[in-house]
Amino acid sequence: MKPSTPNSPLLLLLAAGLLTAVLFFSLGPGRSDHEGSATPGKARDENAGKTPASISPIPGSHHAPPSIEELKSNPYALDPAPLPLAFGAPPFKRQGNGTIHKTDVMKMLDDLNDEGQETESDLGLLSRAIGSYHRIFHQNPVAGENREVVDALTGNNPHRLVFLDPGHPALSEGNELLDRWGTPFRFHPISGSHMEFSSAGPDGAFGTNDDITLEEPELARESS
Amino acid sequence: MNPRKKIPLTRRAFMAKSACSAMGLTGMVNTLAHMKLMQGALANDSGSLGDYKALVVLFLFGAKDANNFLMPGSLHPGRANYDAHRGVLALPTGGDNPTHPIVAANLAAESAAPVGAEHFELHPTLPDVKTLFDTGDLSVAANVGSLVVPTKASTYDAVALPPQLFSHSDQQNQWQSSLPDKPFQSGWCGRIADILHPQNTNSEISMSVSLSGINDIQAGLTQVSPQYSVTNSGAISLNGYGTQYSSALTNSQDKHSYKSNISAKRLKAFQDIMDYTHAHLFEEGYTNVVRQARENEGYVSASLEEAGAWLHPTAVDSRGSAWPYIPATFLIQHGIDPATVNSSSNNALNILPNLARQLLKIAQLMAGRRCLGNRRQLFFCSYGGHDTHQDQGGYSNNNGYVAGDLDANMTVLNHALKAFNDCMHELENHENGQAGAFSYNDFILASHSDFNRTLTPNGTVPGPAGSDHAWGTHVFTMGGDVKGGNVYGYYPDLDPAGEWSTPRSSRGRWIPTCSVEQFTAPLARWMDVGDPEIATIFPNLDRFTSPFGSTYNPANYDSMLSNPHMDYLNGI
Repeated sequence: MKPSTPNSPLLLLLAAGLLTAVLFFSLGPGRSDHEGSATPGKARDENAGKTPASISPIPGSHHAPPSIEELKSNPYALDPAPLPLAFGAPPFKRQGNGTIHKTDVMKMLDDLNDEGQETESDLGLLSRAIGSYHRIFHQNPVAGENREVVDALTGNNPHRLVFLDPGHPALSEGNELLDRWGTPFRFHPISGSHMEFSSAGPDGAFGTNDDITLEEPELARESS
Repeated sequence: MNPRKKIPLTRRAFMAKSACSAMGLTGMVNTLAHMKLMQGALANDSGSLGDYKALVVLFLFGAKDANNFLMPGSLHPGRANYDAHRGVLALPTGGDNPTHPIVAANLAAESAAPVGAEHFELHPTLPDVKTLFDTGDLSVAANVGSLVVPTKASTYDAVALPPQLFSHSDQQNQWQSSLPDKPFQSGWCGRIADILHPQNTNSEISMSVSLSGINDIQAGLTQVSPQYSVTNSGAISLNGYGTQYSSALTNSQDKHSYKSNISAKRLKAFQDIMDYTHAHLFEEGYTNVVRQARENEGYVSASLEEAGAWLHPTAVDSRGSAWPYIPATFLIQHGIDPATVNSSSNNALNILPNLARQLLKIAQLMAGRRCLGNRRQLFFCSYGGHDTHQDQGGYSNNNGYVAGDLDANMTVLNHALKAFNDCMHELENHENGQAGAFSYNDFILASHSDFNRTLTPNGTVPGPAGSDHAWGTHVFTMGGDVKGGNVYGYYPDLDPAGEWSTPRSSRGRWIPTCSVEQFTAPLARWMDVGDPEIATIFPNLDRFTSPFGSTYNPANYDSMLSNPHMDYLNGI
């Protein structure tokens, strides 16, 4: 006697439903913390003043142009999608305050203004730090001023990544990054991937002969 | 006849067919749109260039310091903030200092503007620009910049901002595309050319001419009017045959008038090769480009020859000879007495700054427009070197006024604008009474720049000190249809901590109260682009209040955003 089969489609549906549920719980966004992957849902430092009504799961990860409503409510709507990263292993180190230290760059910047080095070396370190930022966020910090660069490097970015220790001795009370003579470095954004770095030199004044500028930051970035 | 085989539709074939049909459909729609425009243009074509219009865009690359281009006058309510925050870059007002006060017409009369709000001063090195403003030939649009959506300090952190704000190349690109929220595809002038090209029914060369090389602003979505670059010496010729082929030809206008020398034989051989027809598409395409370039060169040269008939009617050099291709006004405006210089020594054009040479060439191409056959022309020129992070020039009580790079740049701008404007008047006078005569109302020059610079200086010593990257800037327009003698838009209160400034910065970076498209859409309409096409050229314009017919209403910041006050052109 041929066995009856009226329940086969039902079983198939049930199996498909189970598979979907397993996939959802294993790959869904709710597991990302435990997996150590990016958690950009709470993207920037709350003190940064950005209070969007809604934030994309990954800022700027749009396949279609953002709607006008999104442009009016999401400050990250036009940002390029950051590199998806696994933050559970070096060179990343999670902190209790929700930030993630980029330990290799932070360690590198420990040498900033080191007495055994030259100013050109300092500018090279800054270039490499910005290069690291660019590789992850696919753009340089959006910054017209020294303190805005510092802001981005100290965690005000979509992944809350810290490239520069907020307690770095080269930071002034006004949160500007100072050169070895105590003058703020000058960051000159040429484009979203090209920035010039300058120190005013020993006399502390820009526009004089002792100014030092890194002219080819992109080359320095490649070597980092 | 072989019967068509039925080919199974594979995935690859399906995609290829879909793509082709999509392209075909798009092309058909575009063609229909262009045919419609062409029909209208043909219906209006009177066979002359009687309704000629030329738009000149001058891009001041590097970000001109607009805070010292247009300053608050002594009576302006923003003057106290200017004096308090501009530091060593502040230029003193009035008295015995070489500043140039201007009064913006109608501001006080149009609404309850604060007392003195119409009082401004131009940079000390702009006396002729002041005259142009006072005589109604020039106006200024205040606080213009790239915007994704209307933005103010209270929404600065909540809305999408133009990508890479404060970076030169991004902001230059966004000014030229007027689409800061999209990857670059085309410039707003290029899109105008896409629409207007069919009206140039007798066109010999592209309506988009660049005096500053290949640029973004004239890049169109189609190739109907690709940008055509000329140098400030004219069309780019084949190298090695002398000026205007004088080594090889007896008559530069006749490409077959070969001399009997080696150069002529070489040119003839090259010409013969270029005249071949090739079966291979790439070879044929290459020779077509060369042939077209040679033809364009001929048209441009003819145009310049035509222009030469009027450009130097009174200029005589030290030998008593007429100046070639340089109107006296360009020389005089640059402090050169035409009668004291030998015009045949070297390249006489080199005695003029580059900007003046570009504007001179544009004036010549306008004068010789009949040879080019375009009823609408879009010219692009540029002037760089405005990135004054240092050596900007400034003033202190101890050192007095120290001239810097900004002074030098503004001086060049002042002379070039005046010379070009004089040339436009001279051209109108020269053609007066002729059929299709040029009118002073037939051109508009509009300036662009990357962004403004910070109000606060980056140093304390006048001379070395300069200013850094900011946002909303002040631009100007010049021409007969410009409602001159006025400042349009809204001049910021110059308070770095106020509602005009970006939050968390103490440098004074003004959030634009007028977007790029609110400033440029009136220029498109002046060129006779219809409203449906304006919406195509400026797809983001509907995010902002319409600039057409907008009024001056400084009652509060929100009222300013809803009344951009960009009604700066006649007849639109």
